[in-house]
Amino acid sequence: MWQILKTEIEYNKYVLIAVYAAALLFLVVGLVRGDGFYGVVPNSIVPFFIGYGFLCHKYCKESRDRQHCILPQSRADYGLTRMLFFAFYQSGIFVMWLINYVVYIGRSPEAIWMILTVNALMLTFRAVGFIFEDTRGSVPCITSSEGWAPDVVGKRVLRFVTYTVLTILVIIAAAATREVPGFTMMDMEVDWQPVIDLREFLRAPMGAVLANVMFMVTFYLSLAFSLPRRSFASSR
Amino acid sequence: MSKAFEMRSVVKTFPEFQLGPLSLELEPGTVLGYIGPNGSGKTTTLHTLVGLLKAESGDIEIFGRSNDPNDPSWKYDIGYVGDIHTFYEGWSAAKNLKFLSQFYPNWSDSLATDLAKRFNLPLAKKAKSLSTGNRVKLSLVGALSHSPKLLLFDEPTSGLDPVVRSEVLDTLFGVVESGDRAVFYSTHILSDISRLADDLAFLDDGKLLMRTAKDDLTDKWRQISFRLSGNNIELEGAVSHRHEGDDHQVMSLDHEVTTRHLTQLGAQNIQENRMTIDDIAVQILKRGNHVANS
Repeated sequence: MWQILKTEIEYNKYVLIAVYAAALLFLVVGLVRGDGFYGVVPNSIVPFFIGYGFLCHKYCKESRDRQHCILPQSRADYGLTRMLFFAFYQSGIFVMWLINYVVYIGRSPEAIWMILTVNALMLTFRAVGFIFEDTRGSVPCITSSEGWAPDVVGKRVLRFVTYTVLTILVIIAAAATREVPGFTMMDMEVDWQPVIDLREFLRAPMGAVLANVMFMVTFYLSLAFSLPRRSFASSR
Repeated sequence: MSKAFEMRSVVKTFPEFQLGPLSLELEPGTVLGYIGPNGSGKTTTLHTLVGLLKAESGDIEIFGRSNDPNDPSWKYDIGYVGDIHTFYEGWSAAKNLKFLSQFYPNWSDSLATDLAKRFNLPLAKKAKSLSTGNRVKLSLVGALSHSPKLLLFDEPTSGLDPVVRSEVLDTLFGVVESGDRAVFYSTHILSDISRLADDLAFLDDGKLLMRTAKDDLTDKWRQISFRLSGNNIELEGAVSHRHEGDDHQVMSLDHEVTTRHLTQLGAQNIQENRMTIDDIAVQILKRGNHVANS
């Protein structure tokens, strides 16, 4: 398990460094401009998602799920390793948010719930992706010829919808403690009134607890489902 | 001594395809060619064997141990080369081998280097810059360097041009022949494995048609021509039959049985011709269940 985690970190080190550097840049620019805590957090999610999208694309293109499943390690270890890598990736951003939090808000508990909620939602986001791969079969890479077969497109649409819902949740949570709806992202003031206003809920301790429970459940399911893998791309 | 692998009534279902129920076993030190057309379920068989896919029912044992995905110790005895060769593309071949070496207690760096030399594999090149042939070679070196007792090959040479394919196979067979390993080699090109195989198993549409010793096939199958009046002749052992007037030609899966029957029928001018292993394989796969039932 640790060999794969160590290898993945080493193999992706330049992407990790680039993402952390970009997130740090957002943090520093935010600090200099005085954007405040709630201006910086949503912005730092942008390089995070772009970076992770790139990592996932590379992982899928190189069929590393297949390679790791062939190696003599248990499927439970495989399920744990892939989540640990994402948690490692996420931890860099989490630490930056904590620094940002200490700088702007100090030691009061305000907004700590929001950080925990966003963190748990992002981890849930990934765990749901793993469950998709294990239960619906892996989806061939978007750039491959098999990547646009009718059954593959169906799977892709389902994933897209689920990820979009989760992304919206993450963004709402990231802006949850602002007094007005909406937030600043990439220098744009997004004046956005969601149909269901979850802000009150997400900025409360209960929101953070619920998000973390959701993560624990989806994480457990991703471990459980990693055993009877339905199919790999091109498996017949 | 336990079998290299044993599959008992294994079933794996896809929306439009079912493998099995499949029962197949391999003795240590035996080379089994697994022959079938594209889409017949060869890769699914291999994937269930190496634990990439879980069968819905049936049991699989590798050297007497269940291929339990949560107890991977049985994988130490396996060297697997699939139809897709997966590497850390941004790393050199040497670094990819170093990565694999962490997982196998029996891994030998000197064996890996020796194999790379025999395969003429450029270890310093990044995986993504390797040619298709060299990618196959890298997979083979990775699969052989921990001296596994069971080698599982799933059309490893698919996509290679004939020259490279022949070069890879020559080197591979040179390595495999020198050891006492069990080899399970899946392919739709019989000539790839006919030189090395002790036994052949034929698969079509997810079903095992037959499993037989290679020598039995070449000894028993014959093309038989003869003269006999009449059109509707049911011949024992014949799997195909065509005629022009009184001149007949049959393919027999047991020439002694067929010839005896022909003699009883009073056939004239009986002539037997040996068949190549490729011709026999084509007949078996073309005539599927008819041959299996015979």
